[in-house]
Amino acid sequence: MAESTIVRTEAAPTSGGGIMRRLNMWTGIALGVVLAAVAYVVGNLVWGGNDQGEDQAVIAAELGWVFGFLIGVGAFVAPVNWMLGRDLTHDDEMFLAGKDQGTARYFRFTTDHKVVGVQYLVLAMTTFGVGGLLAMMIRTELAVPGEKLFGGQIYNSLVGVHGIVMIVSTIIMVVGPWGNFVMPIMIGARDMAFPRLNALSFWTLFPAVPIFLSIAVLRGIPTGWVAYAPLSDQAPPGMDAFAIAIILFVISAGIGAVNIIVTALTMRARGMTWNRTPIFVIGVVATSLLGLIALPCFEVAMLYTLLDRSMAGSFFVPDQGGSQWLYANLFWLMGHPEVYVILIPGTAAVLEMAPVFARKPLFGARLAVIGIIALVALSVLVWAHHMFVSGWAPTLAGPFMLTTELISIPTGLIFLVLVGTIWRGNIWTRLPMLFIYGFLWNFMIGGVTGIFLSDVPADNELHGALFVTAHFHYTLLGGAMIGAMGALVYWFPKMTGRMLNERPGTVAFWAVMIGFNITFLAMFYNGLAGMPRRVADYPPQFAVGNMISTLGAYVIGIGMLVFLYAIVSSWRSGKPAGANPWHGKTLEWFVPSPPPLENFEVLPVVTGDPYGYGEPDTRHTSHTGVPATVGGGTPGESDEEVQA
Amino acid sequence: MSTLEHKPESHHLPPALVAHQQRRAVLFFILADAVFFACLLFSYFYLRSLNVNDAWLPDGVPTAATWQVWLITGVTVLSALAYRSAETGIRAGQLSRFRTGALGGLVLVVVAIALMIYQAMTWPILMSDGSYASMFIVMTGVQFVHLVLLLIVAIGIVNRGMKGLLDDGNVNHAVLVGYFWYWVALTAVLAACTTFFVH
Amino acid sequence: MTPDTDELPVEVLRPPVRERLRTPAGKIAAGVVVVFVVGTAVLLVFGAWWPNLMPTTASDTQDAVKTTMLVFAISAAPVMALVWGVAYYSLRHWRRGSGETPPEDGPALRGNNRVAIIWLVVSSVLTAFLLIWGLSALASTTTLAAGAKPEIIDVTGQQWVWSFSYPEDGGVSSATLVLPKDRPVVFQVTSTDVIHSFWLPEMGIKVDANPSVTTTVSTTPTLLGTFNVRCAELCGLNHSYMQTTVTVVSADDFAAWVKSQGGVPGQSAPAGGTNG
Repeated sequence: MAESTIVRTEAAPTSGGGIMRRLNMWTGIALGVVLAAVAYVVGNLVWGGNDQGEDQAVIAAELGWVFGFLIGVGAFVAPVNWMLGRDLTHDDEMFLAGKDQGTARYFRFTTDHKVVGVQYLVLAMTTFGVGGLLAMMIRTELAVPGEKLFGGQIYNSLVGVHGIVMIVSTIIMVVGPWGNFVMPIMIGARDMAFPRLNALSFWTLFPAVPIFLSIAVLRGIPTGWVAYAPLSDQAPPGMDAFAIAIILFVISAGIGAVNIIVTALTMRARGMTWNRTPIFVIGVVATSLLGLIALPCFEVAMLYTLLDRSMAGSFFVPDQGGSQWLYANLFWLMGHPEVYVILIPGTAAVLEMAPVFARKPLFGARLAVIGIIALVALSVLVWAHHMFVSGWAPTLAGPFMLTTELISIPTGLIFLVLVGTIWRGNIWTRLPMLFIYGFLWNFMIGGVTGIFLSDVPADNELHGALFVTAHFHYTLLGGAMIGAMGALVYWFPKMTGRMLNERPGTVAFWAVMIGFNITFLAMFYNGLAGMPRRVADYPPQFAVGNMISTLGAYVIGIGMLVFLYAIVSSWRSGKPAGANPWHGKTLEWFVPSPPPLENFEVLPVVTGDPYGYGEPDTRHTSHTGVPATVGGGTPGESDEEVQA
Repeated sequence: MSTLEHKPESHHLPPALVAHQQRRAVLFFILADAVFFACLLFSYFYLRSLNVNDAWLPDGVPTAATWQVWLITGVTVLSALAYRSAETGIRAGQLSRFRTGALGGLVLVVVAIALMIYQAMTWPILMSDGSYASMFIVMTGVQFVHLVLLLIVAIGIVNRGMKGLLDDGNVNHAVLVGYFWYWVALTAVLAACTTFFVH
Repeated sequence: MTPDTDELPVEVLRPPVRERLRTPAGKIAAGVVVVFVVGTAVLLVFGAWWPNLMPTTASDTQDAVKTTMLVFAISAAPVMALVWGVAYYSLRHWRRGSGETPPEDGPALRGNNRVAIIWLVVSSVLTAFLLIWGLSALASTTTLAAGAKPEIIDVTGQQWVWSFSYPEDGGVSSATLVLPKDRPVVFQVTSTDVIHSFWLPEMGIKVDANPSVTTTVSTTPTLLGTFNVRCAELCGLNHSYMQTTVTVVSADDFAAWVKSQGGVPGQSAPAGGTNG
């Protein structure tokens, strides 16, 4: 009686075994580069004479890179084998999961969700580093009036690439590493629902990063990350690279989102009803659903951009019947939900950590869930508040003001839950708790300033100026990213088996918080005073504010470098962590740090929610099955101590 | 440590659960594709309503041949019906009916693709001929991509059917392919309906 | 307090406030109130002051904008003070250090329906208030004052300059904007290439300049002087420099200026005489 879904007519030999075992990131890069070069040369030969020939050749090259890389890294091995009717053997699956491969498994198409989580962490940190470097360059130029270092064209590209790289980085920053590494363990599963899709989502994103970087050699983009038409039509081929990278990113995000949603829906441990599911899981699932339905609009907008540029399309060209408002609507239909895709995971991580460091149940957990769901639902109804000054549909200003202001209510619920959890808790001021407080400070400012912007007359004055820039940096950087940093400190022991050294971690926290507030409070000041955004130069009246912002930015940079040092040095030689250094109650703390390949020796059974602090009778799980000492566990730690 | 080295993959999850997961996943992917497709439809009607600079369908620009659109759509729908028959067959354990239906559907997909290539080679418009032309071409192009993807999974499922990997106890992959097949047919019909709203 | 009726015995009556404040719960409540009041006061002062950071008020619209900023800031002050105050107070009062092991568990407070309801009601009322305020401000800033015939000016943005023409004054063209004080002005804005954004920071108005579309925005200048015209939408290489000036002059000076530019005050230009 076959247990598998497929009846094997015979014992099939390891099918993809040969080629599958030889493919990795390096073969992917090699094949990608080769195909890109071939496509570029052929493209130039065939289309060189056209008006759009340069764009067509560049697009062909980028597509060559993408397909070459994906083939070379082995992304298509499984689908091709499915078509051929050859399914993977157990050995194949073990190999794909990275069994016995040491660090090599991080540089291959590996299906173990923990490997994918680490890969995403490194990618998120790398993209954040690139975005941060660009930010330093922008701020250095803006330190004094005049175009001193980077002229307008390069400066505009710095701004645009900084924006898009940071958007990508912050979208994946919590869901990528922790949605993948922690979430399956947190729900009591051995892996995600689709381990191969998991690897695919990462390796589809990976080639997008060099494409973003290639913008620099393709003469940049003049548009900012929003890539507004018709300016995008005028742009150098960097715009084509931008568009293709976005399409890749959306595909990657969609694959990841489906995986997360189906995993959480179908693989929760026995007894884990939705009432007993950790808030982090709910946040990550809600985010994934939102991203799944919102990001395709960006894809469509980018497709049209590519067609306008490479085939003289008419989507956004007014003389040919196109409309810039088509672009704006498609873009912001994505763009507003997208900021909640960035925000919610960081917020959910903070909500998950608060009970642990206040040693108190999550206050009003149901309200947090309602808040998150309402945020997701409302976020698709507010997009035109980004278009209040565009002149599109002035009659809709009132309704969009309504929906936008309504969003403050579920946001307020989140604050209530967070503050209610901390209130009267026994506050354990370890490093993650600092980030919770940082989040509270920053996100309050970010949220309140958003309300000013939701008022149409105020927005008429503030739009397109630095007030907006400061507002969204407060919510995304000050809120979501601070939450992401806290999440990293919190789950670092589980991922690496070592504690993050809290001395440099604390220094980093304060440097980032202080630098951040200096930078962006000064930016609010300049924005109120009337300085536009995305400018390389400005009148002298804005000089003091800019200098202050720049100095603050350098402090952030130093803080981030210290944080990086803390991460790297702790990863290599930090203090070994036990299974549950934070004495938390969610399931990931009941497996060793780092967890073994299949997470649990015996799958847990859940009997209560994970917030039963102060409730001796509430147990998240009655049975964890973790032996006393299993690789990484502190010797002598008994089963009793590790039970919820 | 030996018990911890064995990584149970999908074959340690109950087959019914795996089937359920796979169907959910395909439906969610179709949801994302539906949003994509809805954006296309939205763009079509929005640009048509704006008629910027009277360039939705400028004077002298012909419309694409409607009969070609409906012929290709018809072939696509027929292929979906053929596959529907195949799927019904495999659910009842009738492998030969599956093979015939799936193969027939596959052939019709190939025909549809060929017809689309012919259509592209002979259409009287360019993308620069106004926003109608651009929308028509991009929607046709998306349909082409749908058909190519469908071709790939159709070849796969036909092959698997031939290899005896499907029977009445193992229909899930056939069902999944069916979801996508019917979805492609549906989008073909919806896209074709825009031919009623050109002017 | 000897009851000689059927009232409850003394010990069950609520003790006076002073006694209640001496209980642990009372002390906490008092502490939070103090923090909240101080925080609100600080934020109110800040909120009352901060519209001064904005450009000079040179129009009725800007006046409305600054009032809105003030009102919203005042509304936000107690909310921010409450959240931050409770968080701060908690840290001060219940901080248990950063040792290896966590402190013992706190009280198992899973929720409080009364608090939740009050919170939801207050936030909804506050939101409703801000919305109504905003809608009325929107209505007043987009409705032209009855009375004086508005001055209509065509604004054209192109990479990377603004140009203005006065179709109601004989088709005068200008690279800088000149406006008569106390007369409503309607700007009809368009672009010849990419999206720009026409922004008068001191007058609180902004509208995008779109190709093949004309958008409108209006206001009434109320202050004599020279102010800024800036572009507020990234439009390419020289976006930073796409600026010019707007000068508000008296009605007589305005008529004189129009004549000096070869126009006729108040006369509509012949059809096709303006750029569009």
